[in-house]
Amino acid sequence: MNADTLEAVWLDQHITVTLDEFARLCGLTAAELGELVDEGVVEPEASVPAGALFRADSVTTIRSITRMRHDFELDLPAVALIKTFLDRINLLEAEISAMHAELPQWRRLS
Amino acid sequence: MKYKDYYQTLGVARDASTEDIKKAYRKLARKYHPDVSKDPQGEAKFKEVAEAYEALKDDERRAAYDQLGRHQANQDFSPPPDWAQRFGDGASFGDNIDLSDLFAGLRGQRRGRGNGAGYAMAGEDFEVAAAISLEDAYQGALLDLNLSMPERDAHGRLRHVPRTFQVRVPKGATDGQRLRLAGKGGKGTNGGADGDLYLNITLKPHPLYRVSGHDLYIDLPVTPWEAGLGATVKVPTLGGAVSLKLPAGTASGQKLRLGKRGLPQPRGGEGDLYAVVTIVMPPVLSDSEQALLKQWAGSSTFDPRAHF
Repeated sequence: MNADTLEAVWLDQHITVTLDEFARLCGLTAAELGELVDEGVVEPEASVPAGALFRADSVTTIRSITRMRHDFELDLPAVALIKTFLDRINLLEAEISAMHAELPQWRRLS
Repeated sequence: MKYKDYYQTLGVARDASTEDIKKAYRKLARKYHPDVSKDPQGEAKFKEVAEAYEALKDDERRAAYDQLGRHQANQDFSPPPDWAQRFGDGASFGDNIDLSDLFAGLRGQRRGRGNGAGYAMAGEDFEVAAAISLEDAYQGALLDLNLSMPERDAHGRLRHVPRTFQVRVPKGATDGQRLRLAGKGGKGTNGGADGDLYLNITLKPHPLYRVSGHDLYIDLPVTPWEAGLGATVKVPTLGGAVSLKLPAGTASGQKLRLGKRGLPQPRGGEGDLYAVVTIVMPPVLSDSEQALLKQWAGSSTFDPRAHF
């Protein structure tokens, strides 16, 4: 196998990107992203003189709701509602998985 | 090329109205959409459903599909000789394509019509799931990815090309982490940018450790006398075994923290390892053990149910 070794880039909460870069990562045009910002679906993390900055870890959620918007032919308010529920589901799943991790696994000991 | 029965995929009659096709699609999409469904087969099923809907929702494309004739699903067939001229861009098709590529070709042609031949199109982004072991997350790992991507050759013909990547996953990945490989998705055409490849990292279950963010949990079975009297016990960690001092009077369920023995974090620092104490009785008590317990029972006034 002669494939080059590729270096992967983190998409996490410590990385912020510009609006144009964020739009590109999400597979959207700047105008389409602007529409989501106006509706409150995604909020910039910070503003610098050059423009708004977005958290790279929200790329995944935006890509997911963009797919759903297209595949279910949803309008913008429905997309905003789904984003709210998706955030809540992600939070609850993280809490459940943390609780599972803390619970002793009795079965394994028997 | 293998025939696919798009009507059968959506579970509608061949003379179904566009409205019925849309309803059938939406119902199946809610069931199988990878962003909605937890079904591991969901994504593959949704792709079939979406491909069928894409071909049938538009009158022009549905007519093109109907002109392919009726065949058994998976039966080998060729489009009628004039089909590519009537519906496509007239280009011949590569050998290694399937029906969805044929229709993707139609879409590309339709989009390009108003923009001339040089219409630049960005390559498609791909998302793939990559399951890695905890040891790989701890040390970093080289992952071999084997993907099949649709690509156009120099003559504009679509074909599926096997692509192999070796990806360095830096240490510190945890469940749900996303990584991006810029420009490694589908090839752009006519000067359009190449798409990106996104890796969705999941951690394979480990026989010893459970993961919460960058913290790890391990069950620590101890004997009643180790819990009562205190002891020093060996605890395995991803970086090798360490000695843990168990204080006298440790209770079942108590968590003992081993600082910085969890998963490394991408930007430095480490999570913690928690040992969750479980007091285990010997499965069979010898005569002398029974005698000792009776002696203990007789001399203790402890009542764990005093609050009942």
